[in-house]
Amino acid sequence: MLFKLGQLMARGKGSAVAGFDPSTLFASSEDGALFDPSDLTSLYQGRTGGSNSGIGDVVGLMLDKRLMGDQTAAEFIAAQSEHISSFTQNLSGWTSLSATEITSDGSDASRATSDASVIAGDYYLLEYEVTGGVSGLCQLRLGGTFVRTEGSSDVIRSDIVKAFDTTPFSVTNSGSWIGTMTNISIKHIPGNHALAPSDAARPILRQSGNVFSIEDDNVDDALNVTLPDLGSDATEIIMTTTGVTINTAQTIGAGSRDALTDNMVGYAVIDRALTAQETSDITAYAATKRGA
Amino acid sequence: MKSLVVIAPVAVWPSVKAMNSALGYAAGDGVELSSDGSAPATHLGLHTWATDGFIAIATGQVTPTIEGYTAQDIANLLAAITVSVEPSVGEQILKRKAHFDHVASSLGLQTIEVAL
Repeated sequence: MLFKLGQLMARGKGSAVAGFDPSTLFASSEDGALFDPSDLTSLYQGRTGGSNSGIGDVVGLMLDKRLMGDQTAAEFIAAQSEHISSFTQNLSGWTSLSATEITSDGSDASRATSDASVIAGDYYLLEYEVTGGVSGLCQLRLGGTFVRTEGSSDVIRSDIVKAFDTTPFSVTNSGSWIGTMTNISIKHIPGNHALAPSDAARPILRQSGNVFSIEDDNVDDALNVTLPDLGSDATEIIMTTTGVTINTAQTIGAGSRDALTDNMVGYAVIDRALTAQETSDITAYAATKRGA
Repeated sequence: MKSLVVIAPVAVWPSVKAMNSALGYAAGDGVELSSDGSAPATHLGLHTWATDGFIAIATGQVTPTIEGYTAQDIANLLAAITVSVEPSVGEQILKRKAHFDHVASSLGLQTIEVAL
């Protein structure tokens, strides 16, 4: 995972003003989503992960924090267990197959497949390093999603991949690839994460003092979250630099919903009504997020 | 990053998307535009935040090497579209929706509002 020290320091300042942990709203396995732009480790410039967003950078992917407690997204992901424990090959050609390292001698167009299926629609952090590449190409897939093609260049990758089916992570030697993938790590990132529909539609991260906000260009920007059916008594909380809007008794069916509002400092949607105390707490929390 | 607006005729938009895709950038489906703000769209547009490197390509200052496209292909596409980078109107530098609306207006176009 790629992030800068300054971002972690900024996160520390951002969280210090917030006493109420909004993830506690979801403590009884409520469904929905929770976004907090002050946790810069939950924001990625690319729609497939990569570098975290810094101030003035675009936001292509925003992670749902409702299952993360008071941890940063980086801390939460680091604490997740490794998703795979071994690889097998369908033909010959892979001379080394451990949980974290696979080596191909290019002698066969073989596929190395990991042992664990994934959850369709869920996101996974895939990290690895290519070393000692000599020639040829290999193709990486996770959950039916094509990730990328690797060749003979030494590279370090960090991608967040949305699985479209349950197919385990695999590496197909599609062109006599000779090389090694090492430090392979796959971690499940549960949650209803928000994704910009295109690179052009990525909003931008802003900071003013301790306030972190996401700026919508009001033209085409969006951060779409795919939600399950939240029923007819859902609550949506929209937090911006100018105030908080709490929409109660909402009917929110399964599908895509844009979590982005201009100058957004937080957003939550939950499949139930809030108590009076919770409404008071989230209102105060929103005030701290906008620096009030 | 700077505010960048691209507007192109509907027929040209697939080429905009394809060439952007070849550069590793997803342009998306675009915002629909027409002369009176009603369907059907005659043009599509986008607003984005762009690096100086991308702006140099989008404005024709740098011609990238894109597999499957000649320099003439790229020049032809740029000639068929409108690209704008943070224009100044009076003392104000336009960004975001104000920028997009300014460029659309200068082309005699309005956004087709989609009822929610």
